[in-house]
Amino acid sequence: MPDVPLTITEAAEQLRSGATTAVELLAAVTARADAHDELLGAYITRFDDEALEAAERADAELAAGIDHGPLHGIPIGVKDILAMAEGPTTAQSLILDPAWGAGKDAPVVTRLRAAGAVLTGKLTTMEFACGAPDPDKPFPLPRNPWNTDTWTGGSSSGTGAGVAAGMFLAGVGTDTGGSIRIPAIFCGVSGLMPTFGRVPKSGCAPLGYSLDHIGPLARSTRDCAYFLQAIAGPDPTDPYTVDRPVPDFLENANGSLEGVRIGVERANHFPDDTDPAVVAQFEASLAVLEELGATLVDVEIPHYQEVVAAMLVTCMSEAFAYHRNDLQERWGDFFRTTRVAVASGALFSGADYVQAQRVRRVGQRGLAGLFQEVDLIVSPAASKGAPTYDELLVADPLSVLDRVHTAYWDAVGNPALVVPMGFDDGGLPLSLQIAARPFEEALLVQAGDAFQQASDWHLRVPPLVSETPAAA
Amino acid sequence: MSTDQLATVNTLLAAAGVDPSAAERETLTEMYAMFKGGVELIHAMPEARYEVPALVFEADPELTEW
Repeated sequence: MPDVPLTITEAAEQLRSGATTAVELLAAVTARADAHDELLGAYITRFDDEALEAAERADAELAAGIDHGPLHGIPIGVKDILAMAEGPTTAQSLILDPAWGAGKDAPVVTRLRAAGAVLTGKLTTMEFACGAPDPDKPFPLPRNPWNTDTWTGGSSSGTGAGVAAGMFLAGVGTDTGGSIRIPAIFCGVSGLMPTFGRVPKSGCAPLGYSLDHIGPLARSTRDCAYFLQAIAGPDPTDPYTVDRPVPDFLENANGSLEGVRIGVERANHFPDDTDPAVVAQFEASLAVLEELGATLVDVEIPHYQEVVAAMLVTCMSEAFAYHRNDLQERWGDFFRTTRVAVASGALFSGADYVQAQRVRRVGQRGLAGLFQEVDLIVSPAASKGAPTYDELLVADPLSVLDRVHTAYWDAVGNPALVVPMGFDDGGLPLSLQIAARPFEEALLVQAGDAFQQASDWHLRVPPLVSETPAAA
Repeated sequence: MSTDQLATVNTLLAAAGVDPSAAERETLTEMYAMFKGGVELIHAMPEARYEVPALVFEADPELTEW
């Protein structure tokens, strides 16, 4: 059996050259999951039989000359807050009615199937994409493949861990305050949050209606682009989707950043407790971008603190509206951190919520002005690596947001990409964040892909995996 | 954590009909103190004085069930 290819790009080449088959590829990633998932807790449910049928179908189609594109025959996992016909959605919660979405696919899942993907199962999250793990609840504890004493980040936790460990080559994540990007940061893979409205989110259990985004985690930016290509575009079942043409997200990915002006944000991204390794790796990454031809300009993101505050008011208010009745009746069934985090939505007024929406508009206006001067904005994605479980389980449920710099972009709706940029002294991954104008994901992809053509941080494999012999 | 803030949090939680433990109420009170700073920040923002909120209501929406 061949070992697991690192990227979709590599696997797609092998599938078409005959070096492997979709069935062999599935067997390889399944062996990885068999070896590591008990420790890493990436899966809630595996659909081994259905995945094998899909892989056999993918092989038969390729043999017949039917090629659905780069995701054809590729093993992909789905965060367990999206509905899949194979089984119930849990949202990693005792609360969600198993009848919700039963027997149906979310539009994103439908699109992945149409692209030929082999869907391997449902992945761990934080409960309803919020809070922190709760060891007292009957769900796996997601652990970071780079150091299993540390957290994967959330809430697309299983997606991050599973991509890093090669249990599948990409996965579905969702992002309300950073939940695609945070596990991508902590697990050392790439994560792309598209523009709000680019991807339909019907069939996905909500956290914050006006903030939720669905997008990919994968090893490389190029793989994220293939994934986004398959799931982007409007859908009548999601009124938030925007009817705009979907471009070829790789149209400008030529390995160069000549002519691209990049704003460098430092003002709000280096708190006093920033790990010195973040500073060093960020500066080294800037040098790479400059070598690739980009022009760097120092900028300050407008109204940063106000917009982040508006995001928090918005998210907790919207989440509380969804969960209020269950919190009243089934408080103890929620995860410890989730119930406290979501109940905090009761502490805001209606006027606070409306004001937050006005502030989001102000932020968008200011940002539009800044994006007349630059094409992209880069910053460190987090000021330190993943927290340990010991830190996480005693902290207040929102404290992890202190070390990550993701929430601003959810509030304004612009697309944002995180790519690995190195490691801290303890061997934990660190990441660079790149943001673009709304609906300019192709420019993000150009930058992330160029950076990854000039670096190999995204191709590093956790020792837990690289030191385990390949399956026989 | 001030007694006033704890009393405010208890009132808001009671109005919302949720009943956390004493320890959870303390955590929520600490969070409330932090949130108040952010809430005051957004209400004090001069640029937002005449801004329209990012809310859109449609009188005749297309309602397609998923």
